[in-house]
Amino acid sequence: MATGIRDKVAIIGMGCTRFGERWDVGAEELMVESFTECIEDAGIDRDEIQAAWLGTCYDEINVGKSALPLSMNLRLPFIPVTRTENYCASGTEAFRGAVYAVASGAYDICLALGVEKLKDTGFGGLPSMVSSTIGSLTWLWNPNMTAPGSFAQLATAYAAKHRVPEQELKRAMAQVSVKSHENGALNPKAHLRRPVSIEQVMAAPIIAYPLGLFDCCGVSDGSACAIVTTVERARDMGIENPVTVKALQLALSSGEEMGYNDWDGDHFMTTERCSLRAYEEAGIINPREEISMMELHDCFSITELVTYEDLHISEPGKAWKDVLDGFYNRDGKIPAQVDGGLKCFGHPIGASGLRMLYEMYLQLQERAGERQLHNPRYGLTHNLGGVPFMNICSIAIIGRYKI
Amino acid sequence: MVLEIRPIMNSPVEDIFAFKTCCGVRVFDQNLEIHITNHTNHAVYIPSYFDLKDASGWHRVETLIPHGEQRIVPGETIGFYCAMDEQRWRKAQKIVFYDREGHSYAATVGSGETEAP
Repeated sequence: MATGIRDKVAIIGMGCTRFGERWDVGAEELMVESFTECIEDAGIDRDEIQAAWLGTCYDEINVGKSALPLSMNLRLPFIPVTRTENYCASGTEAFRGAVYAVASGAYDICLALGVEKLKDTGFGGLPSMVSSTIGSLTWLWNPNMTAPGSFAQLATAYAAKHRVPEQELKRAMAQVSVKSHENGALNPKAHLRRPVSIEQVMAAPIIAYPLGLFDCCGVSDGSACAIVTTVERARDMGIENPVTVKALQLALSSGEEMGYNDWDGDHFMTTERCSLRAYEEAGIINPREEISMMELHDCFSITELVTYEDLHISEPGKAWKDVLDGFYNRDGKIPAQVDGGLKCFGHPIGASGLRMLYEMYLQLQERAGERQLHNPRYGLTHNLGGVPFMNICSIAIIGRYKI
Repeated sequence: MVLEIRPIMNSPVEDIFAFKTCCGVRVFDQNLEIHITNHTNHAVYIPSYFDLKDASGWHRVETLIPHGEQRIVPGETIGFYCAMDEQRWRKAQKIVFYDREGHSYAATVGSGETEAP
């Protein structure tokens, strides 16, 4: 009988580079940078790592194929290293590999690292969405799809279904971005570190209606990593109350969103289900009361807004009001995007999931400096890959072993 | 007040524009942000340029984004952005926008006060 992952695996070290336009380094240096912080934090020797997972998405323009870039750049000692990819959820996917390897008893100490180098390619944005690299599923079904266009439809569907006035939803989306910028201004590892006003966000040019320039995150360069072990090993190392994984769930679209008329386009069917499984695994009954802080996949402000409802924290149709009431602000009930989010960091695809965990880990250890929240219990990360009608949702919940 | 014009020099959006090449927007050094709010009861159409007055006279600035004529519905605010030399801006006295009918809307640089057409 399966017993889940709760409290079987401890995080003993994490590292994260400064994200942004890192002209001065390649993906190799980014990996070394995050790993150096991580292994110093863990207080172990590199040769104690027994297996590793590399999360990266666009290997064609990034580190290249296989897991060799990780093993060779970090000089890992001839251990098993696996490359994983699940679109924008690749970072959490690498974390899953390491966590389950430890939980299975196959290994004691494992590494998960995510990296992506997207800025110095000579073109804007991500590589072509309509080519042999993206696969026949996409170019047969959605030959003209763009990311902003796909996610913008969430906003119009949400406004229509819940009868939200257009300007009110636009204002709520703007507040989502404003809140993230306020938090990012406190984070030396974020790329964008200046606050913006609601007026500036609402006055910005439209990218894909109703998403404006400041409703969308940018592509970025960055890396983050984690070292995990058993709780027993962590305690043997002197960590009396380690940060443990309370839940780790994944849900992928079945094709139902695209194939049938039941889905109304205003939410993520994957997140709705994945979050319930995560709460059950973590023993959380009332997430609105029990979750202390969150890092969500704010590729677009509307994604974050509807995710508040898909996580069963805001009631259906009420997330926009919660946002405007400040519920998710730094001084609100459940601070979201505490480190500034994808909005301020940008989105190096393979690294983002681990960057989210990094912030939750620092907060639980009261090492978040100016961003420190008061006595957090559970930190939730939500890492989404794909588009609203075809996607991967990965949710992790971490907290202290003894709450 | 019919059109409220508010210039914001060294705006934080300069960093965002420089970062967001992924939206196909390849613009850098856009350090001047200008908000225009329509306080009338009808839509106005504002071309993407303004005249700047300083001690040496009038100068037209045509390098605004977004390009082209922008429609502003009643109550709405839009943003224009451009690169502006800080020394030049310090010496500026007034900026003037126009609508498609040729009406002018001026703002004193510094106070942001709009003058009626």
